[in-house]
Amino acid sequence: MSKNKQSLDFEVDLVSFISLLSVCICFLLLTAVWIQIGSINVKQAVGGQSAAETKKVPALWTKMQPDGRVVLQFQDFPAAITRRLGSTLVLKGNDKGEIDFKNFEKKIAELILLVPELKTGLVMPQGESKYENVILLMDHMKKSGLIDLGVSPI
Amino acid sequence: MAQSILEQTSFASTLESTSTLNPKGGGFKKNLVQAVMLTSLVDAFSILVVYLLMSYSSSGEIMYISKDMVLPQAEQSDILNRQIIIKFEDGKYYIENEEVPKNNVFATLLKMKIDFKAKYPELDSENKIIIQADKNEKFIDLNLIIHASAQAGFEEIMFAVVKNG
Repeated sequence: MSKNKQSLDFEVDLVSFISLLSVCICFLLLTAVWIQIGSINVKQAVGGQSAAETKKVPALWTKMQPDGRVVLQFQDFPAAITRRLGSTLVLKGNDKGEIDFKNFEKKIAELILLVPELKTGLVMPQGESKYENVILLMDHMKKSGLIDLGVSPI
Repeated sequence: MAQSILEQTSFASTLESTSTLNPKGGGFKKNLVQAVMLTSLVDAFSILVVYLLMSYSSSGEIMYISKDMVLPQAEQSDILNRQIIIKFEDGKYYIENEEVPKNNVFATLLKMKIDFKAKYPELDSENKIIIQADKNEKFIDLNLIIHASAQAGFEEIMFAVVKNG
């Protein structure tokens, strides 16, 4: 009886398992990616299709100004909305003369509530616009729900 | 009779058995041989392996980023896949890591577009281009790339960013 009990007491050989884990850790440490690189995908805002081929969908043009202001221009918006808001909306920059991204995101969210079919956002930077700000603007547009982004050359 | 490692370690406390005044769990000779608790080590290793597996990239290195280049950050970024890379660094343009004169960007892109499709037929190259630049660059410097890529027939631009959040 006692002999049987002893034979059931099985020990797992952990040494080989630890060796395997060590090799795995070394390999993964060498191949690990510490900086996650992604991409912001945008379409060419100018060119591509001819005007006749292009569907008339509401689009929001975002013109970056050197003093941090952002001019929102509505293209193919419903007439009732443009009558109410006008064809452009100017967003002031912050005290430092930079873009007020919080206010920008808020305004975009408000516009999407008014025009739910609004999915296209086009960015028109200035020559002096910082690349980082162009990316941040597009990032905030995407976050607000504008999924079709485009960038316009100067 | 040979004792299992479980029996040796489960009942004798390491602290009590090494006590000089009132040692418990056997004589001095036995206490000198201490069993290493491998279970916790295996647990730690397993956690490490899982963590490292999560940050493992099977796609390999897509682009080379020099030490001085800081890519802009973005929260809403997509997965970067292999496409033609055009880099702007220190006032110079590089296509696939080869310096290209400013007035030759369009011609090189056009040539590269054909070469790239022949070189990587398995890749889903849908007329996309990757732009890599430092976050502090002015847009005017990247404007040339956007113009040239539009002329060369690249419909989509992928701005390389660092994933934030």
